[in-house]
Parts: sequence; structure tokens; C-alpha cells
Amino acid sequence: MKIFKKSFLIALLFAFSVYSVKAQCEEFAQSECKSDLGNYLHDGNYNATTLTQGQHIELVKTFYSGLNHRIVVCATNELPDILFEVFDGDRNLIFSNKNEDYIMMWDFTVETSQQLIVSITVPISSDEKFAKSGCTAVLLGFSTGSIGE
Amino acid sequence: MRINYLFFRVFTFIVFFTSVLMFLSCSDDKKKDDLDNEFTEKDMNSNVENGGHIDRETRKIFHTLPSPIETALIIKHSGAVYDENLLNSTKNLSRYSTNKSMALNLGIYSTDLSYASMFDQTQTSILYMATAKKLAEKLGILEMIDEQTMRKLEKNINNKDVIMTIISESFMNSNASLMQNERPAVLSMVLAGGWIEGLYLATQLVDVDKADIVENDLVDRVIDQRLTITNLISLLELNKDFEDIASLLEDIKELNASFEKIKVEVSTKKPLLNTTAKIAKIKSNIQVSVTPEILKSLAKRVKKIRDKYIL
Repeated sequence: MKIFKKSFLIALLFAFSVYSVKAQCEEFAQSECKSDLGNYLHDGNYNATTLTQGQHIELVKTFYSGLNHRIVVCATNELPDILFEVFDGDRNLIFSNKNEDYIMMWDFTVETSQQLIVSITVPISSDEKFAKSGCTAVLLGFSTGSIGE
Repeated sequence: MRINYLFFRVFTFIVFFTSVLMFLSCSDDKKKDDLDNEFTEKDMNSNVENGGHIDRETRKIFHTLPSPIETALIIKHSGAVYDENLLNSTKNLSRYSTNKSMALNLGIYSTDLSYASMFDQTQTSILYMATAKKLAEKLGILEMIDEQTMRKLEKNINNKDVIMTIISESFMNSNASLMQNERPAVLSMVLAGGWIEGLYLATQLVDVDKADIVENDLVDRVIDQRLTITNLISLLELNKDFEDIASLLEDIKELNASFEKIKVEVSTKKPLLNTTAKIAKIKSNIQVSVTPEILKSLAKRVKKIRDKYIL
């Protein structure tokens, strides 16, 4: 009888935890990442999802000339250093954080408006037996110069 | 014994229910990813488990659109003026009762709100924020704008930075809520409505007959939308099984025909990154030119589509 009661509670808690993960990811993006935009105004788009080691996402966006842009990438602590790269529409590599001590933000402008691809990879660690998962968010901010840092 | 049996059945049900939830959650994640600002899942293959060591190579693509606030900033920064007559009247709110009309007009009102706020139109900003709140609630997005947000807006009505932050947060709340509640079609229609309104405002603010369209920042921003419309089409394609989206997609493809007339020249020289500047600058190898006729045709088509959605 007691075993069934315990199992019942465990099952309920498990069901609840599945759904709380999604809300936590949003909370993480809102509370932990936005401050890195500094004086850049967040565009308001929500780009956050749970990623597992080995997964890769790309974000395609038009960046307009005349504005300063800041890309902020952030991930929960359980994930290893995130590889953050920016490519132009022809897949020429424009920026990589690999040689920049895995810095998680980049400021830039564009001469003419163009589509860029923001590429995020959660690397697989050779010493880990099981792949880890965590929330990853990409926030985009812009300024006209006067409000940018 | 009978009680034990009853608990056993309840427990079995809970386990089954949880498993179903987990399964749905996984497929929802896929759906959500598709939506997460326009997730296109390109390659979800090679999920290989090697004795517990997961070798997982996946690739997903988000296609993003400029948010209402970015659109408004671009319009203002291009030297455009404020014209209240261009906004979708808040009196039209009662007309919107279907999911499609509510979602599209939530995007439209969000852009109008951002445009008015960017030009320091305080009373109009409050009115459009209240209208967006009502429409969001009708759509079941209670998280977008709450009473506290309205009070904060009214309290800081002369502080533009705070207002912009409030609008940005409201839009993010709305996106996140629609994604978490697995409402991809509604989300894509909100984004589409916001984008259409931004393009409508920009095209109406260019007087093609009087203005010089060469080296005109606002014209440049209008023709930049030839890039963004491809993202919008990709987003809508993901949800084209929904009837509302299919008809919207047709309109957007028709509009894209006008954008495809714009002449784009790409030089063979590769774009460079100027890192010597204080802020990195991505150089370009693209030259774009447009004729007044193309701009007029574009403005006409956008107006036709927008008029259909607001009435």
C-alpha cells in the first residue's frame, strides 16, 4: 500500500518536472542572458531551447545597416564551452569564438544589410560517458550608436 | 486487497499518462523547435547510441523576422516621419474574432505600438498597448501584458528607454508563451502580421513620385525586406498544413514576386571583416537597385494584403 502511494507521488512529480523544464529555459533566457545585452535593446524575439551535447542550431537573420548589433549566446552551467560562429549567406566564416577564449558575445555592424547565420554548437566531450543537456539562448540586440556600449 | 488493486490501476494509469506526456513533449519539442522563431529542422539524423555514449549530430535552423520594435527603429532611423493616419484604428478591435484575424492583428498592433512609441506618441502608445493586451487575452496569451506592465508603462510614459524595454519584454513573453503552449500557427501569424505592418508603414512613408529613391535610407530598408521575406516564407512553409497559414503563404508569395524584380548584383570579391574599427564591420559585395515602378507595385501589393487583414 505504502509503495503504491510513494510510486504515485513519484510519477506525479516526474510528470510535473517534464513540463517545468520548458518554463525554466524561458526564465533562464529572461533573467540570466538579457543583462549581457547591456545598453543594446533586445529585439524581443525568443530564441531559446534545450540542447544536448552534439547538437547544433543555426539562426538565420537579416542584419540591417546603420545599426550596431550585439549577439549574446548563453547556456546553463552544465554544458561545456559553446562554439559560437557567424557566417555570411555564402557560408564564409566571419567570426568564431574558438580563438577568442569562447567569448559569448559579439558586436558588429554591416556595410549593407545582409543575411547572416549565427551558428551554435554544443561540443561532445570525449571524457563524458553520457551527453549532457541544458538550456541555450541566443539574444539579439541593436542600437543606433547612442545607446550602444 | 481491493484497495491495493485500485492503487495499482491508478499507478499504472499515471505511468501511462506520464509516458504519453513525455512522448508528446518530445514531439512538441520538435514542433516547438519548428516554431521557435521559425525553427526549420533540417537534419535530425544519425542519432546513434554506442553503448551509452551518445554520438548525436543534429542541425536545426531558426529563421527570424525583425521584431516590431526593430522595424520601428529602422523606420525612425531612416529619417521617416510619424503619421498616425497609417495606424490600424483601435476601433477595429471588435472585428477580430477568428484566430487568424486576431493573430495577424496582434502583430499589426504591436508594430503600430512600437512605431508610435519610437516617435514619442505617449497617449497613442498607451492606447495601442491596451489594445494589444485585449487582443492577446482574446487569443489566450495572458502572459503578454499584465496589469503591472500597463501601470509601469503609464508611470514611465516619458521615459523612452523604459517603454522600449517594456514593449520588447511583452513581445518576448508573447513569443515564449505561444511556443511553450505549442501554438506554432498562431505564433507565425503574429510575426507575419507585424512584418506586413512594418512594410506597409515604410512603403506608405516613401513618396516615390517626389523623393529621390537613390541613397534613400527608407527605400533601402524597404528593399532589404527582400531578404527577410525568404525567412517569412520558410516559417510559413513549416505550418502550411494549417488552412489559415496556407492562404497567408499565398499572399506572401505574391508579394515576393514584386521583391524578385529588384536587381541584385554580387561581385566576385569575398566580403571582408574590418576588425581595425572600434566595432567589427562586415563589408559587402552586394549592389541592389530598384526602380520607382517596382516600389509602387510593392507598395500597392502590401496595402492590398494589409487592408484585407485589418478589415
